[in-house]
Amino acid sequence: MKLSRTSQAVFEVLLRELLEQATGLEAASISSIDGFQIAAAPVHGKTTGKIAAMSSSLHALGQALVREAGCGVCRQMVTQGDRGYVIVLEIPGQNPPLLLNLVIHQESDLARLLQVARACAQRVADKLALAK
Amino acid sequence: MDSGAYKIVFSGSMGAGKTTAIGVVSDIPPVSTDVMNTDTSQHVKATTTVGIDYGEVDLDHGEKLLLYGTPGQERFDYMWEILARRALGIILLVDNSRPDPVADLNRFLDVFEQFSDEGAIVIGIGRTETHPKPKVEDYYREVEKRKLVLPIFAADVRRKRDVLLLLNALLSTLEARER
Repeated sequence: MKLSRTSQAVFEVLLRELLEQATGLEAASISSIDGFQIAAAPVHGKTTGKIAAMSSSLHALGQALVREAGCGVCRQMVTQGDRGYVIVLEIPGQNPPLLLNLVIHQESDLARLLQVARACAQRVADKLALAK
Repeated sequence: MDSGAYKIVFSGSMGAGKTTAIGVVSDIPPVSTDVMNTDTSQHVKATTTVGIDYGEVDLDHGEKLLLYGTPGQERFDYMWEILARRALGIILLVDNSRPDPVADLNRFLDVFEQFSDEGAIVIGIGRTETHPKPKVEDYYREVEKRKLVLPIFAADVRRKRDVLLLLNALLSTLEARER
């Protein structure tokens, strides 16, 4: 998915703002629904092209799993490591769809964590809407 | 693996027909993780598999084949090894209409070749009716260079009988080894 340098720079600024505003957020990236990294902050941080591909797989598997279990639509995928979390969720209202991938420090309050993730995705969506 | 359930993996390059093959033989509605393809410079397909395909084939005596399809694009290559774990066999699908299908096959054999010691590999060559070259014999020569003896068939995976041929060849190979 080709982006202009300007668009990529806009995304990176947006993600850096997220890192500054959301406590505990270590890295963030935006990727296409089919696994291409579009932008990341920090630029050479924990989110990589491989993470983008894996997030795509995880998101698609989450959609299939939730569908199969009759639980509606997948809202986010949370992977818990012993030193932190990776959360993958779709940025609302995007066509083609975009994913927001968040790497978060160990966080004891999972409910707050999920709220932060959803707020981040909405913030990105709002900024993208303004930029159009 | 539950007794009576046997895992078979379909792999191969993007567009080779993995999702189609599983869909055409599965006795259950197949699970699909196809999403929009945003890089049509690589392939014109509207969608691409990013996770797994999954289907089942019921056999006699309550046994079943569990069919897993891998993504074809190389950025998802971590899925190939993950899905191949504890598989009984691998069916490699090749798209004869691609610019270098022999190179495509070799790329997947590089990943799965060691699997041939424990399980079985069968190769299906698709789109031979519209793209007759390379011929099946050319693929046999290529595989022989690796000192492998693998069944290779021309197969249109839109046809159920062709996919069943590949599955039967895989199972026959395994039965022959057990004797």
